[in-house]
Amino acid sequence: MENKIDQFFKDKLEGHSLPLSEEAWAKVEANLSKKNNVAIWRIAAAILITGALISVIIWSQRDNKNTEHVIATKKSNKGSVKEKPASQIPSVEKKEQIKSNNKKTSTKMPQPVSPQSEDKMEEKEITPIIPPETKEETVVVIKEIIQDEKINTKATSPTTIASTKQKPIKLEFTLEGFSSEQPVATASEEKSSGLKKVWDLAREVKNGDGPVHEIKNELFALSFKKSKNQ
Amino acid sequence: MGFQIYRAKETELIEGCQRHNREAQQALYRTYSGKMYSLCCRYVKDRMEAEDVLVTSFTKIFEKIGQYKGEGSFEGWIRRVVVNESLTYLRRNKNMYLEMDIEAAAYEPDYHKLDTQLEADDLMKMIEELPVGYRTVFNMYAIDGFSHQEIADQLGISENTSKSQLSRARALLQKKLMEIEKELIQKTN
Repeated sequence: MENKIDQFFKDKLEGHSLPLSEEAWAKVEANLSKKNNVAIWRIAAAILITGALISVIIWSQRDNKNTEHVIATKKSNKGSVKEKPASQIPSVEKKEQIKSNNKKTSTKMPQPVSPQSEDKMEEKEITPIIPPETKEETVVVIKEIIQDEKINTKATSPTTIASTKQKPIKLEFTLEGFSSEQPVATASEEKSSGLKKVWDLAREVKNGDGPVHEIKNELFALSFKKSKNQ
Repeated sequence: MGFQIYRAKETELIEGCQRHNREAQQALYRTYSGKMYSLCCRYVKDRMEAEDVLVTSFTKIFEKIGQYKGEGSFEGWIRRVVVNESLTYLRRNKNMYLEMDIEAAAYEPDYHKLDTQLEADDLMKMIEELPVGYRTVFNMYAIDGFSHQEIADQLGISENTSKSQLSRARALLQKKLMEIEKELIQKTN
């Protein structure tokens, strides 16, 4: 019964059409041209925006190139100072230079350092890489370090206890990893023979062998004796 | 052969519309506008409003004709766009679901007799007189071939509501058809 009604209406009405006023087509046309205009405006706006973006990017890149050029010239000036042969540089100057180099590397590769020993760590980091000529200076520096009994840093090689009566003094040395992640600095350092020496010494100390390591052990032993006498 | 020629013409028209050719658009409009207007009038009672719905529908058809990939009949695709647009209008403007209790008719009218006596316009009037909820579901299910699931999704109602609306619409139409049948019998006597 129900399907008969449905079918009855479907047969009569599916293909049925009604007359329509001419205005309807005019309205459709108007709508279409309106949409076309909107589309044209959108395209124009998109082109303008992309053009503006591209010009901004090009402009900023030019700025970057200029600043890079300035930095490069500054670096080259610094490099010329570094290129002085190690023998010509006075020992104090050399020390300062080493300090500054170490500071640079320490900022590049941060390591966990306890806050109270932060200042002295810088000195401590230098001590192993001072060449044997500056022996007297190293004695002073190491004395200062020993006053700070415990310095907790990332351990590499705990060393020497002078006497059994004293509290055990633990000294730990941390060396910055000489990794390949310092492309600019290392490239300039390798050029100067003095810094190469320092590099080799640092490696020796890191590995726990070589003349510097022996000197360091001797100095520690001496200072412990001194403090015992006091 | 004739069907193939018709298909070729239709494809040509569609391609012209996809290139935004105004003549092709007008030709397509002339082919389908009368049928689609009738469809709109079945859903939207007011003829002027039905015309507005048709205008919006054809604007959308020409904008989205690129989406038609030749799957299924083109008329079916147009029909769907127009039905969707009519439903959008109804959702925006009317309270769709008027509940009414209608008693089922005791017997069926003679459809064969009615078919010869009644014109499509008479049936259009009968549909237009239905409450909007019944009219929509009846149009969608009985004439435009939507399933109850599709109707439920489109109108945001349950399938059961769609079914109950349809059966009430049928009952109302049946009642009206029987009244017309009675009148016809009285006239002949």
